Amino acid sequence: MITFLMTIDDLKARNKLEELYKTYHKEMYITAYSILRDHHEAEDVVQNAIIRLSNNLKKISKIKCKKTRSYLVIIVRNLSYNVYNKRKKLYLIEHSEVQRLPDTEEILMEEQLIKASFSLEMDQFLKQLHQPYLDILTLRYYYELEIKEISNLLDITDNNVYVRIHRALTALKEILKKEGVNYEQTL
Amino acid sequence: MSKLSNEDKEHLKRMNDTFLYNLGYHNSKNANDDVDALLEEYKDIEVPESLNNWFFGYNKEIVRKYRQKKHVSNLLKYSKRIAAMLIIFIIMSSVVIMSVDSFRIRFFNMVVETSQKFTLVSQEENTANGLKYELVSDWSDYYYPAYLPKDYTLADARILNNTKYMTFKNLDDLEIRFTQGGLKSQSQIDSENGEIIELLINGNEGILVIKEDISILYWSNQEKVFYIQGAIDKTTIIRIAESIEKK
Repeated sequence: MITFLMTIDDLKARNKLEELYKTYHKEMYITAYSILRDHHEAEDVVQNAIIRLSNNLKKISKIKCKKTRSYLVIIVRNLSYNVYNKRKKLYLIEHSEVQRLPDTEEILMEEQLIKASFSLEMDQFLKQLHQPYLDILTLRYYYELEIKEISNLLDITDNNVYVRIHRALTALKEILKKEGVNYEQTL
Repeated sequence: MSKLSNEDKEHLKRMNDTFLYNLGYHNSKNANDDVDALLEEYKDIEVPESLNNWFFGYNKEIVRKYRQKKHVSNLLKYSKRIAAMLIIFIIMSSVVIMSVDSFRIRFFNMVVETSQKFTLVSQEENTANGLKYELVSDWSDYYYPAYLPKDYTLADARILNNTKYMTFKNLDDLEIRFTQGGLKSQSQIDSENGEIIELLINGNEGILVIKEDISILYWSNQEKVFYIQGAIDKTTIIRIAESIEKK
């Protein structure tokens, strides 16, 4: 009986990863290729993404849905940025600049600003915000991942995740200000 | 700059989260649109077969590792459960044995029986390791009864730890056991439900226990402690005791 139940568990895990791969392998590969323009590097990125996803399968509840599809695309996209930046010897965040930011030290945007932002076209923010910043905010606030989960998935350190989120929020605030939304208070 | 209350901060935090969730939702939607456009743009590009091969090999490997890990964790889990159940069983058995008289008596009887069996085995082992069965004729410094009831003859004699054991048997295979040991030796006499008589054997104090058909006599002189047991009457056992002579 125990062996039978174990087999069912194994099959579930195996099927999930297999189904993910079978459903989205093309999307993953094309996303990586579109950034890197190199088949070998694109293949490496997809392999890396699969390895990282296989350790975090619990976060994926439904396979055939747009939310899962974009989740995989965002992960592959950011892993591709890492490879691209390494190739170009560019680092999004220099290690010397990295400072640990506690969770509580999130930048809170002012209520007036947020209210105003709902009346504006969201695309305006999306277009102006650096894509890796947008993606990290998406993983944190839309997919509700922990810092550790994000760092594991994107192959970056926890500190880098903290700093990226902090910078993304700062940039977002600047964009909102530029869009003409005034605010008076700061925390 | 006004200071915000905790409630205001909480409200602001939730508003932020909602805004950022909304932002994430739109980014996710855009990611889907982007990938649709890319699929169209790169529709001629096929995923390399090597990637597929790698994936199926990797998947097989992680399933093997997963199964191994699961197996170990299950073993640990079930062994813990079995250990816990065993402890509970031992505790419950102990409580039952100690709280119910009949079980307790049976349990201790079992322990005593086991112990006796062990002693028996131990003696056999000792025999094999050099305990000698000797005839009385080879002995020195021992006592031998000058009187024995009719038809009783020496059937067995042995020495164990400086204690000499003699067994006399008659034609009906009834036994009289005569034991003699050093003064420091100790013996336990089963006197439960028996008649206990204190007496003198050749001027030395002794105890006679008569229990059903069995008579047991225990006494000592200045050299040794003696013990006679047999299915004989009081007069006979005393006569045997008084007749012992040093050889």
